Amino acid sequence: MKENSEITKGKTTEGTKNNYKYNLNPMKIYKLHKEKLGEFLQKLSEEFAVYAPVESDGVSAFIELEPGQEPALELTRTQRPPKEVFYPQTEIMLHFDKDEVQSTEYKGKPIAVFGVRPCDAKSFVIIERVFVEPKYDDTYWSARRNGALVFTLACNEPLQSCFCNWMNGGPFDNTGSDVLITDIGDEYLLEPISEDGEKYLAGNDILEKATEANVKAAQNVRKKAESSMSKAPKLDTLKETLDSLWNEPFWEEISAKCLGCAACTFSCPTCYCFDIQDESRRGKGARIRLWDTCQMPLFTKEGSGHNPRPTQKDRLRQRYMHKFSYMVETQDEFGCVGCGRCVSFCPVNIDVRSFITGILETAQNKRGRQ
Amino acid sequence: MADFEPKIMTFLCNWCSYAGADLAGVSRIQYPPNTRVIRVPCSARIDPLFILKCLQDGYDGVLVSGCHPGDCHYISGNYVARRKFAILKTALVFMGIEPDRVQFSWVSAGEGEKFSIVISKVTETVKALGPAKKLVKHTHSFEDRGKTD
Amino acid sequence: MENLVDSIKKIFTDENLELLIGFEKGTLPLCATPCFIESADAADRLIFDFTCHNNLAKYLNDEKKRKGNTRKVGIIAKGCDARAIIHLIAEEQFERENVVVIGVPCEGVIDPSKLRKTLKGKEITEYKVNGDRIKLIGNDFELELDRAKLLSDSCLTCRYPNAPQHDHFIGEKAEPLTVNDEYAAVIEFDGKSAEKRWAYFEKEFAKCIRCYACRNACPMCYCEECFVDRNTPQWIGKSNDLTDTMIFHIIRVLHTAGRCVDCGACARACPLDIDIRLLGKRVEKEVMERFDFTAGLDFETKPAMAAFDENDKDEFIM
Repeated sequence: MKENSEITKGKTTEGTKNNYKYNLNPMKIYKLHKEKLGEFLQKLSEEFAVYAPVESDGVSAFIELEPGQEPALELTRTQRPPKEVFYPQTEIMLHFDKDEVQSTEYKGKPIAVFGVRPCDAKSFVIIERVFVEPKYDDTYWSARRNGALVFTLACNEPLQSCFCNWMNGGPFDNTGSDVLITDIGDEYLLEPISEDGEKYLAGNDILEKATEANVKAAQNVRKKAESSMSKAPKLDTLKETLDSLWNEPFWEEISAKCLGCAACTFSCPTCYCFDIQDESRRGKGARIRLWDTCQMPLFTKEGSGHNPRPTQKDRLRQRYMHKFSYMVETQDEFGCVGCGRCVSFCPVNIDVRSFITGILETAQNKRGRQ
Repeated sequence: MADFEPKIMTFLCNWCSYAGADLAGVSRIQYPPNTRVIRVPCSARIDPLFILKCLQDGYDGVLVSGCHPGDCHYISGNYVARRKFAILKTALVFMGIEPDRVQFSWVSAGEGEKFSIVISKVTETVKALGPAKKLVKHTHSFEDRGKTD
Repeated sequence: MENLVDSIKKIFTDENLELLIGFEKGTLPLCATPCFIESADAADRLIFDFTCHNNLAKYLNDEKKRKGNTRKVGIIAKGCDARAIIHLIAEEQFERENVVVIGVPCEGVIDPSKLRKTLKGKEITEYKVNGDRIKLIGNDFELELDRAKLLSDSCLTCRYPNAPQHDHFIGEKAEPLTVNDEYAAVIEFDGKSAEKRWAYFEKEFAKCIRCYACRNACPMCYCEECFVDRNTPQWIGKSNDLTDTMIFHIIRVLHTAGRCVDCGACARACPLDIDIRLLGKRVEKEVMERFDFTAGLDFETKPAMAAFDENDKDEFIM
C-alpha cells in the first residue's frame, strides 16, 4: 500500500489504488442460494455473534441478529455506521468501587459482521491503524476486533450521495474484507479475500461452487454499479492544495452555515475521537469511553478557558484537514471512505464533495492568476 | 411492597416553608421520616434539573414548597416559579411519569401543622406508587457488573 | 419564486444591507441550503420554494456571536422563521433596527426525515412537481405521491405561514395549510395510557445519538454554554445513556417553553428521524391555554415564562 507514495511531509496523495483483485477463477468462488441465507447465518451464529444491518423503529443500524432474524440487505447504507460494532458509542472501560477496579473489555463470542458495504469495511482498517500500533493496543477495540470476520456485501446500487470512488475505493472494493459477497439475483457469490475468509468458507457445506456463468453475471453487476457512479475528479493534489490554502477566505464561507452539531462526525465511519468520563454515585461507578466530536467548542477548550479552535470556521477546517491532509500523513490514504452519510445527514447540506471540487477550483484559479 | 419506604426529596424555601417545617419540629408534631430536606432561598431557585436529577438518582418522589402567592420574601419569586412548575408538571405527566412523583405546595412560616400534613400526604401517595423506575439511572453503576452494556 | 432575485436586489440597495441570509439550491434533490450574500449582485443565487426547510433565524444568533450586533442584516423569513426573529427581538437578543425581515409566502416545506422514510433507504436523482402531487425519480424506480405526505408535520398544522411582522413582503400572502387540527396529535397521544406514553418516549429517545443537531438548528438555543456542556457541576452524562438522553430532551423542551414557534427545524435536523416535536408541542399548548401566550407574534409582549400574573391558576399545587 505504501508503494505509490512516500511518508514525508508535502507528499502527494496517490495513496492506495483500487486494490481489488476480482478473482476470475471460479474454482475459488462459492455460491449461496438466497433461500439458504438463513441457514448460513444460523451456522455462522454457532461460532460467532453475528451483526447485520437491521431496521427497527425507522432507524437502520448493525445489530446482533436474533435467531431467525433476517438482515435488511436491500439497504445500501445504514444510518448508523457499523464502526459501532467494534467501537460502541458508549463503552464501559472499567467498574470501580472503594475496594477494587475491574476492567470490562468485551468477552463475548468472536464477532462476524455480515452485509457491511465496502466503504464501511475499509473504515475498519482505517480506524484500526489509529487504535492498534506496535507500541499501543487499544484493548477495548481489539477485544471485539480480534478474531472477527468481515463479510462485505458489494454495492449493486450505489446511492446518489455515495462517493467511494473518489476516495480510492469503489462499490466492489475488498479492502478490509474477509469475504466479498456479490448479489447476482437468486444467489450470492462469496469470494474469499483473506485467509480467515477462505478457511471459513472452505468448511461450509451450505455453499456450492460458483459457475463461470455466475462469475460473468457478477462481473456485469460490478460494471453496472461502477458506471452508475459519478466520475471521480483527480484528487492527487488534494492534500497539497489544502496545505497551501490554510488562510483562504473560503473557509469562512463554507463554515458560515455550519450548525456545529455532530451529525457528520457521529455518522462518519472513520471518525474515532472519544472522550473518557467517570460516572459515579456514592463510591461506586464506571469509567466510560464515549464518542466525541471536533465540531463542538468544548472539544478543544482548555482548562485555562483558552480555545485554540474558537470559531466554527476553525472546527470545520479541522475536520476537512484531518480527513484529507493529516490522515494522509499518518495513514498514507484519505481518512474518508466516501460513504456519503455526512452528505445525506447534514441539516444544512454542507456537501464535502462540493467542498473538494471547490477548493481544487480555487487553487487552479490562483495558479491561473499567478 | 407493604414494607417499601419511599425516599423523598423536599425543597423548602428558606423564608416560609423551611420556617414552617421548623415550627412543626419545635411543636413536636409527628410526621413520616421519609423525606430529606434541601433549603433554598426561594422556590424560584428550583431549576427543573434539580427535580429530574433527583428522579434520576432514584428518589421515589420530589416535593417543592414555597411561600403563598403574594407573600414571597423576594416579592415575585414564587409567581415566576409557579409558571415553571406548571409547565414542568405538564411535561412530566404527558410523558407518562406518575403525577404524584413530583408535587408542589405553599406552606407559610406559621403553618407547622400544615407542613406535617403535606409531608404525610406526599409520603402516602408516593408510597402507593411503589419504587420509582422511570428515569432512574442504572447503567455504569457497580450493580451492573457482569451484565453486558 | 418569481421576482425574488429582483426584489432582493432592490431591498439590499434601498436598505443598505451588509448581509442577506437566504436560500440557494442545494447539492441533493429536494434540498435547499442556507446562503449568505454580502452584495446585491450575489443575489442571483437566491431561491425560495418548498425545499427551503431550514430556520434562518438561527443565523442571526451566529451573526451576533461572530460579528457583534453591528451589521444591518436582511433575512428571508417564512412565517415560522419570522416568528422566531420577532421572539428573539422580544428577548432583546439584538437591535430591531439592525434586522430587516423580508417575508415570503410559505406553503409548507419538505421534511428530510419523511423523505427518507418514504424512500426506504434509496435516494432520488430528480423530482417533478405536478400541482399537489410529486413524482420522486431514482435510477430504477419512480414513486408518485401527494406532496403533503412529504411536508413537515409542523407545516401541516401551521397557523402563521406569513411573517406576522415584516419590513418587506415578496409575493402574495399564503393561506395556512390546516388550521383546526394543530394539537390533534397531542390530544390523541394524551388519550393513551401513561405506560404506553412512556414506552413511546423511551423508544424514540433510545435512538438519540446526542449529536445536538436539534439544539443547534433551533434559533432559541443560543446559550454560550449549554447545560449539557456544564461540568462543574455536571448535570447529565454525555453518553447516550437513556436517562441522560431523556433528561436532555425534557430540559430542552422546558428551556424553550413559551419560546418555541414550532418551526420543526429540530425534527428535520435529526439524522435519526426521532419524533422530537411531540413533547414541546404539548408544552406549547399548555403555555397557550394557561398563560394565553403565543411566541413570536409581536415585538413587545413579554415572553410567558419571563412574566407572571398574580392570578395564574395553581390547581396543580397541593
